[in-house]
Amino acid sequence: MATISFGPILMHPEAKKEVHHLLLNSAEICNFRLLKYNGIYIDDGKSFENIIKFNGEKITFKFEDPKREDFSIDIKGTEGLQVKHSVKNDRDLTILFLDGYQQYNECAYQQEKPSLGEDNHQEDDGEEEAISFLDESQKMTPQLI
Amino acid sequence: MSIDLQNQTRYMSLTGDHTFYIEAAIKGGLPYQNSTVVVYAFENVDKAIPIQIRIKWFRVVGGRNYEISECEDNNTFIFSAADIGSTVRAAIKAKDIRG
Repeated sequence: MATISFGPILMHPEAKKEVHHLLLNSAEICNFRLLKYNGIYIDDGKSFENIIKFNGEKITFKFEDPKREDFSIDIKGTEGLQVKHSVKNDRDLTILFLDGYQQYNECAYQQEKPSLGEDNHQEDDGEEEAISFLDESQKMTPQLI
Repeated sequence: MSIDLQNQTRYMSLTGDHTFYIEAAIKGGLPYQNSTVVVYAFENVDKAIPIQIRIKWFRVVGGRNYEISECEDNNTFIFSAADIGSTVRAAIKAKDIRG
């Protein structure tokens, strides 16, 4: 048997531009959910409720899991999304946008690590090691065929 | 738009104990989610005699293989936003056309 692998798959740069457009349109922002958070993929999207608040500058998500804090992301011009308040070790935030016809819109955004100056109040809940393990397993070394 | 084929092959890898030649045709541009790949198999590297294959597609998330059942035995895979951040893997066997 042969196995051929492709990827890891990235978002096309042109699609990123489209993300910014969507973010500025509050009507479309409702079709917006997380794919990945804290290094863990949200396979079916059911781990989160969708946006609970959008005021033009900030989007607030709510976790269905009561052990996890709600968090918000700020929209800062053309720089895209930045996490302001979040659980500890916030990283690898990937967001999937759906268009108005409920189809995938080829838009997602991989968030950069938050700045060191962020104020994180969350207690360490023991998830950090598991997250590190997942991150290691996701590293791929592309090889020539 | 020109396509950098050499760059695209950096995002493909082939493993296995197969005794046939495999070729992957790419439309769009790996590693981006707007790509399409078509997998072909031949008896030899000269690609004179194609062979039929059975193929299963998997989305690798967190080191786990999630089978994409709707794509089974389809030699074409169209990437989408759902694939961003993951690796797509195809398991390929030669198919005996005599049944």
